[in-house]
Amino acid sequence: MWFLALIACAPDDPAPPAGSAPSDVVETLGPEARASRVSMALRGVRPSAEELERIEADPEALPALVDTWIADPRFGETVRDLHADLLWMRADTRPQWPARHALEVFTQDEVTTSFQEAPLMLVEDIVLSGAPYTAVVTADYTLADPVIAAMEGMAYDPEGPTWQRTHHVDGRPQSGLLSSTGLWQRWYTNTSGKHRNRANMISRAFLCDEIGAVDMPVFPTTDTTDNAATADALRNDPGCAACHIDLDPLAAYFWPYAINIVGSAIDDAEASGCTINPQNCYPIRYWLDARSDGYLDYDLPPPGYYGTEGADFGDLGPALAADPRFARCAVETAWTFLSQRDVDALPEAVVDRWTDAFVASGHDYRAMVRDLVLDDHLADATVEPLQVRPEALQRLLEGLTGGHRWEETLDGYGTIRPLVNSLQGVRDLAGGGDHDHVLYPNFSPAPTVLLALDAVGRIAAEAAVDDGTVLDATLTEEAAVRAQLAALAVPAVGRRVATDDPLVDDLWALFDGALALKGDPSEAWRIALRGLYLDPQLVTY
Amino acid sequence: MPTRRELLWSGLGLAAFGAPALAGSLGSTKKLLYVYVHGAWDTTYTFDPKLDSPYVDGPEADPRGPEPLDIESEATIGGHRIAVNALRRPSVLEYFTTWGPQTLALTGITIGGIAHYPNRLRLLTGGTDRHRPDLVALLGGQSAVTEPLGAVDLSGWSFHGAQGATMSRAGFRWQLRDLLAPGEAGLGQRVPPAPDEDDLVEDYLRRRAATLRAADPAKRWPSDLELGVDRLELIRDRRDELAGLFERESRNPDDNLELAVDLLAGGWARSVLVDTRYYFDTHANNADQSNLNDGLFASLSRMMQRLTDTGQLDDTLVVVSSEMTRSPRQSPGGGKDHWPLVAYLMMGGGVQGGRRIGATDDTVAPLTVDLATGALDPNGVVPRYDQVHAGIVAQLGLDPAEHLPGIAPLGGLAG
Repeated sequence: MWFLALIACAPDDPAPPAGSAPSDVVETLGPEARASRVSMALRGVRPSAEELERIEADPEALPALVDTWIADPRFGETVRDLHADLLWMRADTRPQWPARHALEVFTQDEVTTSFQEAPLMLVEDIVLSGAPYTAVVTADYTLADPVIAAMEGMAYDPEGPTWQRTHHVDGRPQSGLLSSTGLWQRWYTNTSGKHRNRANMISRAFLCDEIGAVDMPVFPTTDTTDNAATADALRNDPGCAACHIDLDPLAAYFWPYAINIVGSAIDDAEASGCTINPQNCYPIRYWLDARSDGYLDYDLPPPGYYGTEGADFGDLGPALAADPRFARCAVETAWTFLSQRDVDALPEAVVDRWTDAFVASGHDYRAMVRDLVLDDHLADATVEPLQVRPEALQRLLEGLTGGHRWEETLDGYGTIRPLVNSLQGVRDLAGGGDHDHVLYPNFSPAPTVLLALDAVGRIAAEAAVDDGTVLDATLTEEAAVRAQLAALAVPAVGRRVATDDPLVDDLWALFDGALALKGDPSEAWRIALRGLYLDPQLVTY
Repeated sequence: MPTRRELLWSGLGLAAFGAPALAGSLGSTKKLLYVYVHGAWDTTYTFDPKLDSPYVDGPEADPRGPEPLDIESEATIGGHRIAVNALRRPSVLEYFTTWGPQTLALTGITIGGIAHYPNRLRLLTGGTDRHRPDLVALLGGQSAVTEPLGAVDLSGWSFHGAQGATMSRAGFRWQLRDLLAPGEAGLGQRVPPAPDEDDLVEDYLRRRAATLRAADPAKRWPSDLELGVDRLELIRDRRDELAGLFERESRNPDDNLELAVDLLAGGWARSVLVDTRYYFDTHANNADQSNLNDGLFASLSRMMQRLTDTGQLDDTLVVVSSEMTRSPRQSPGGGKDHWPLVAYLMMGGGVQGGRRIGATDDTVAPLTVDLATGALDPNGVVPRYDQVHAGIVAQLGLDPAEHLPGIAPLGGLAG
């Protein structure tokens, strides 16, 4: 098989550590601030007081701490956050498949969340299991929870973990994300698009080389009413071929997939007793082998990967994985997410070094991320501070307020995590993306971002005071208040905080003013926490 | 002695309190309303008619006829050659009759691609770098603090680039309203207005920002925070008024454009990006372009009337555009696919209406123009989207050489 030759192998001798080259960073953060940035980037939470003490005692302790942070389940959440941004998943404001028929035992939020999260869970599983990252396009299994299993008719052990490895049953080759129904329904196509949207997404997300962004060098002159003429132009007219020569063979792999199944199509099929379009009844058959050569109807080329023909995802996945752009793109997208900076701002040699190390590690994503976060470039003290993402802020505030999961109930829908789900609009307003219309985050203290962050902080402050386990809301004497404020600030801002720290001075002034305004200690503590939860040193890192 | 609030509202607050950020307006004094038409419009149904061309399909009258008004024709209305169908697209006819003399059309502009997302990036930013601020974000960066929202993205499509600190969002269902004036639902009901408390927290943030700025003056973020808090305070001062703008029965296209105008007229923002919420991607049935364009131009007429009624039109440049146009011929399925040209309508803001810049031939290929004047010129160049973009930047009173270095602006927008 041609593709076997493309499968990358890890060399016997590991490459030198990626961070060993001389740094071109002029000024780096101090050990404490550096540890805090790395912890936030990896987990969305600050180092613990004990971890800060370790750093103080031994600034060289950071690599060991990073190893523990990468093993933290919250790193898995970060991996999912990263890939939600990359793949534009968690697009929960879009119309979703209905929680009806065979799925009526679930709420709509369960159906939507599972469907949007399933491909992200697969990536997390691959990364945390230590499998090569190339498995995101080659893994011979998928993941399902009870919703996905019912939705797609997959084997599922009710006694097992919520998300468990299983397989599709509709005949599709199992090849990582390429086999994900949720992903390709997010990236639906239409009769004219002919799966090109999906092919373009692959080139953008996995190769960082978006075919659709290629500049058309020549204006096309084609009679589009003529299929044969159009097909010829797509191959031979320079204006068309600039994109289509690569795009159409890549798109051809996707022909067995449905172009798009909307919720009403499921309802219609169910209403017919599954006599009409039975593939649209639960369990959905998103893949039909009978559609696999649909490209022939339009004189389009067969499946192929940048000039090399293939048959199905069993070919495409390994070809993608072996493409040098794949590893580099994984590095670039990880860096962009973790650092909130474009890779173009880095010396080319740095990215080369990280990429080489990633490949040499056998595409170990955790090792690659470790290299990135320990590199001086992430600790560059001269660049703007990073701003907490809404998803990470949700985790951070949940931890600060007593460890409770923060959910809101939406009538007729179920519950959502407001900074992870977009339906309440807070994720978007707080600077995140909804991955439907709002595709890119805004890491700035814009007025509407501040308004949303303040609302979130107010709710969290109220939760912390009500919870009562993280603070004593009866204290009013200055020394005691300062001591408690300092203790509360440590996990919020990720550094040691003395009682005469300027932060505590400002918090004390806020508390004192609030006490004068409200005359109620618990109200004063709520307002002080509201300030802390909106503090620039909490919001940035 | 004026209070801090009074100084803020006067636009002097920041200068008076020593912050380094914008105290007043910089550069441009114009406003911008960018109307984005999502999905790729077919301008042969409106202001680039090709009814006599054997190479272009549609628009077609209903072959099942006869319906007396269902006749496709071309006419020159308000200075524009347009496709007319009084039954299917009466609003297009009405628009050009009333507003054509104030509308500049641009056709035959190449954009170099036919994919929605990449083309939208090009259209809005004038390039392929998503870190470059789009026009709305760029102008938001020019806003005075007394335009507290700066730039508003009602569409979600904006590319804010380095102007994120002055880019405001509203939420896909305008949930900003919930955070301003909590109603029965939404997260906002958990955070009712508390002005005295808000003042305390805002003062706290200012102290914190000032401390951080003093510790590291080279960083922009603390200064942006100070600016953001000042803007936040002004928003909260008039929160009921702002929330009221979002209190509309629906988020239909008329409401969207009306809201956009009101945000400008109320001094809330310097620029607004709005999506019409019509979806023009007619791959399956291009005849839908009649309904879509009829709805769009009805909404544009209402928008123009509101801009006129509120006295905004002279100072506000309105740009209406879509990420591309549609192919000349219908595909076998009856739809039309993507075409690598863009077309614009521009109104107000000093542009000279009642005319067109650029053109396409019978095959909907672009004709060449004199880039300096916009006049058709067989020895000229095929105009590009980035050149139009640079021309708009200049029309807004900004320096295109600074914002799009190396791109020659298309001239002639002002006549």
